[in-house]
Amino acid sequence: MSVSVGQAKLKDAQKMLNAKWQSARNAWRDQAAERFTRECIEPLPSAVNAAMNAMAQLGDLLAATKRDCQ
Amino acid sequence: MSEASGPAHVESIHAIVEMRAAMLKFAETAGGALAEADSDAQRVIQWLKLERLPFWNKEIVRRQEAVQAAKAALFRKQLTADEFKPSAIEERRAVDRSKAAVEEAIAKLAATRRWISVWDREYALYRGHVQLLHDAVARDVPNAASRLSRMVESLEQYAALSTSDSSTAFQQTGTQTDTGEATSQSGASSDYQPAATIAPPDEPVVAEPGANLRRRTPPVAARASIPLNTAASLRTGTQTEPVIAADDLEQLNRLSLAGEAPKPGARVIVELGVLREPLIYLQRVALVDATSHQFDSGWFIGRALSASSAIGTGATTAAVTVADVLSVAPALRDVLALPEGSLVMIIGDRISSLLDENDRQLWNMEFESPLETIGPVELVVDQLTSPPTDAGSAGEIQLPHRGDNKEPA
Repeated sequence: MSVSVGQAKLKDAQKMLNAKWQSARNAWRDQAAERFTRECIEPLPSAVNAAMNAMAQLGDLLAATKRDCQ
Repeated sequence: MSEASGPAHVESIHAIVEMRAAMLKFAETAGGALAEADSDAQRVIQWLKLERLPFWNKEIVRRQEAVQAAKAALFRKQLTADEFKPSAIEERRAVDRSKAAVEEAIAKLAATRRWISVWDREYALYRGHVQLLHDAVARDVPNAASRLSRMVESLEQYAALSTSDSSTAFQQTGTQTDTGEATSQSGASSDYQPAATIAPPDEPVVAEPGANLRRRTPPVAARASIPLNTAASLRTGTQTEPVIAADDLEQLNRLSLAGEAPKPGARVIVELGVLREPLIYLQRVALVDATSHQFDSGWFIGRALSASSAIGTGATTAAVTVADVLSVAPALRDVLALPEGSLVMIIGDRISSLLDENDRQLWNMEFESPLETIGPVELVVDQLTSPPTDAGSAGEIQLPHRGDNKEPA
């Protein structure tokens, strides 16, 4: 799996998680759900986005390295 | 747990179960993507250091030898050249090509060295940038999934308790089901029954477990015949010690309900292994003979499950002493001092219910959610087995973003 494939899979996984969380959140409406959102769900997008940006940069570096050193 | 939470409002366990599965799948996929990217980075570093670097070093030598060979060929050609023989133009071009090849190899070697340096820096930066997600998939997401698991377990246990109850809550369930079906037939877009059609969210159905639990408790007459066992009957060796949250102990003391504290050697009847259960109840039965208090505390500790079936007095129960119970669970000391007729239900480390001898609720249920995920067990009962929501019809939520990172298109 190349970095770009990993990026795509990561993006899909985040979308799927968001959709499931939407369903769960519709069915779970209390303060515990709010706390779960705050502690477990809200930190994920920034972590995923940071990783996807880093992976994109990694992919660019890989391509450039192979072009220069092949 | 420092933050209070109100009553739990969960309409579909299935949605929570699916969320848990999605979290684990996310962790697996994200972990795989990170591992592959990391592997790609390490492979290119190894490729540069172990393959490209020696390759271009050797290539420079080989190409320099080719330059010497080309020069020698040119020299030979020049020695024999005269006005009647062909010029050495081809040999000169060969020398130029071989020199260019050497220069290319030198440039490639320099690039390889530069990229090795770049990768040493960039790989460290990359690791830093993905560390948050790495921690999330390795620790935070599995922990969150475990929280959901514990919550689902508690909800299912309570649902089992509630659905076996024949009291008001379950008479309402029948009505709710009828109402729900009618709603569905009238064109609801999903199989899922929204709470509003069954029980308004502000008025959730609260199951009353007291009567059924009392029916589970072994009768007073049978207590003396239950064989005495050891504290090991209460739990398994590796579990953590049961505790009761400090807030609950304070509330218990404020109620000033203390009856006669049981004697340390007095008997307590327990279901085997009961203290490893997340949902238990304690009932203090009224002893017929006042002198029995010397030998029997009147307490029974059982699982708050299978409420419809009475507990036998055979292999599933044992008698232990009050001292045994307190040695395993000292937090129960104040509970065991409650008067006869008391029935206490405990979920995790929280008291969820305290009934007096007349099944009057004495407990303020506005406590923080037990097991860190759910509030006092207060469920829209018949939703617990509802079919799943149509995930496809649910729009994707926009989770709050932190920082300035933008999701790539």
